[in-house]
Amino acid sequence: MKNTAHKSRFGLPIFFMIHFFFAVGLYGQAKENTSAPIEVKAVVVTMYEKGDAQGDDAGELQRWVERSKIKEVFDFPMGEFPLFLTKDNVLLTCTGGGVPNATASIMALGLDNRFDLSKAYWLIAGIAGGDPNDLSLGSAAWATVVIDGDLAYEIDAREIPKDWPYGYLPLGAKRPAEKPEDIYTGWTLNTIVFQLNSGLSNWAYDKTKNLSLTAGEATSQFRELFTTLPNAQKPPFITMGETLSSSTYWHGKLLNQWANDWVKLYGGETKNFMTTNMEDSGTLTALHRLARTDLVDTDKIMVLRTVSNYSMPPQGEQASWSTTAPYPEGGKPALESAYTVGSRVIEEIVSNWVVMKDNIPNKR
Amino acid sequence: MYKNVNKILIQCLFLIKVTVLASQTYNDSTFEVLPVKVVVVTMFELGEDMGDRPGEFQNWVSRFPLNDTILFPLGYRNLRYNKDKQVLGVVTGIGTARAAATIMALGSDPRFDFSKAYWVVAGISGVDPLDASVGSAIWAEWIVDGDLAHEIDARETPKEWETGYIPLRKSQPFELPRQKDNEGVVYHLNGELVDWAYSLTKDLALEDNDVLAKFRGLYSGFPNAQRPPKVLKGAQLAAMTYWHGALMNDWANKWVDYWSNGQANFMTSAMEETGTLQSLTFLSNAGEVDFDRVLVLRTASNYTMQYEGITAAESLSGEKLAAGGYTAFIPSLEAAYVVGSKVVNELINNWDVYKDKY
Repeated sequence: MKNTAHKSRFGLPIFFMIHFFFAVGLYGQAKENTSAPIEVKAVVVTMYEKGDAQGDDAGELQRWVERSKIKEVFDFPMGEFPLFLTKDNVLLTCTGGGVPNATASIMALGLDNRFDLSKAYWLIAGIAGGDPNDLSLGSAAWATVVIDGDLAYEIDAREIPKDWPYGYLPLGAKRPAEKPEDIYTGWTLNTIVFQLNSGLSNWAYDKTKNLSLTAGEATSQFRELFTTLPNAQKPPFITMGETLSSSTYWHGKLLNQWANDWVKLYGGETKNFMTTNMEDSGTLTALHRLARTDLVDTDKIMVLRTVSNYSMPPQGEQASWSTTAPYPEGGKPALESAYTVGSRVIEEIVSNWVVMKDNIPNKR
Repeated sequence: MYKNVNKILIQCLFLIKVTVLASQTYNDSTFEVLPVKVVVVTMFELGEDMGDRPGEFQNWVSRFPLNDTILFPLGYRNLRYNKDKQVLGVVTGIGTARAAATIMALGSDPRFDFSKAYWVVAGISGVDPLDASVGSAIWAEWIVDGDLAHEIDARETPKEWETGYIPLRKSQPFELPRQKDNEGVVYHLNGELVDWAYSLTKDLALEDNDVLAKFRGLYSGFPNAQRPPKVLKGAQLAAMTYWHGALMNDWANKWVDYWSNGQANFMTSAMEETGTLQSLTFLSNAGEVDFDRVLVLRTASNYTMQYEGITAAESLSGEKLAAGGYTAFIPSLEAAYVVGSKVVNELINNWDVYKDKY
């Protein structure tokens, strides 16, 4: 027998009649440990941490761990860090960087029978690249859609036809897409576009839009380099804006144009690319799978990304420098914004749990 | 009509057990856990599991066979199982994220005991014409992720750069020293097991035909691309981004060389394995599966770059290919089954030997 102490729950409310299925125990095994799963009110999904989750230089996870009252810490061999449960039954996790990590560990978390996540809100809160056409360092953007940026054809841009704007094209396409219908090539995957509950995104934005965010001197000096882009020069602010997710951490003027085009093609003409991250399409792939058996509710997912760096260089500078130049202030304004803005929403959920448990704000 | 008849046939032939599941909950049902000797991991299937245009799954379902369907709502597609052979078949779905999600869901599924299971990934791929021809089958000991990187559009990089791809946390292409923690970019499988699988299959005859011969004949200047299909050993580059062309092929070779410290040669290009292997790594860390029992086989359905005389874009779209695009699709599916099933059959037919080996 397998050790089932950390086993999945397969409580499927499915009544199926298709009798040729070989239906070996569709339902999961009884847990050996009989304690009831912990009802979690919200899961905070972070992606990146330096060193340990406590007591050293703080990344995304550590700010939450050190500023919350932690009730219990759980081993989590299916991820890179332990899980932290706050006194308010908010679960804190850190997936590690990249789509594979995020997908695998969120899937494992969703199947973990120590927790009941069926009513939980999900807050993805992490740092990102920001489009200087729209955002400044330290700014925060709530997304209404997550678009994948890896699932594409690519040809090195030095060997593309002269009339192509870049080397990325939809899977199965013969040339870069110009209109939304160009993405339907016969090889269109359903894990490229993840629509979020925009009513909930709007609610989160509304609850946080007047918070004040801060950035230091080095950040304000850096943003002034973007002399022709007024939004890039603003002190940090909070807005609504879409996120592109790819394991590939791209950078530069040309790919920034591709990102803007790609988000409109796949998300719709009204969607504006603002942040670039490396995990959210994986996290969303896992959450949508888990929702099939009601382990999670995809109407309760929020994606907040805050700007640690710009997605292209300032005018007159080279992408080869700005791609890997150290983040101004080590990305601290973005890390702080993710916590400041994200924790405001978590407080709202926890303090109104009686209502919010079964009533999603602005439900679509 | 044909489909319906086929379904009825399936119902008659493969009726194993009629189970009606109503309002049970997970904690009041117990059942026998199914033992699994081998999991066959495929990535895509078209239409039905059998009887129509095949994908990677179909040969296993109809010929191995995998007669029993097992519901798998957390996966990409329902599972198939052979209860006598104790072999389970799964389709992950295309792309790293789907593969990671499917394999994590499967490895965590309490209906199966994977503690002794071998995992045989068997799918089609692009192939480097420097090394092999379409229709060939290639066992990978090294798998390197091709998405996890910095990237700048190559037209915007310094002139001396060979590529716009930079290792994460470095500032130039192929910059040394490599990061100690590769953050999931590199997977090195059990070399002894991979060598065993290669030795067992290296002399198998693979399908060859006029179309393959015509296709490979276009690759003048690439002697290995022009040989009849054969079984080889070589590294896989795994990326959701389906790249193509001479320049990216050059990058792929150098990227795999860089991440393997010169120990591996890039041969195949596919879209899922780093997701599959990330989940198997976590599952292995948790004691659910044995990562030393993972094999990765890819068979070549197309080349990763153009032949001389056409552009990368023309080659990718298949518009200028004399024989049309994806000419090796069916032979590559056949090679994946012939080579993969040889290994799976050896494992299950001599389970006394392999149960505790590797």
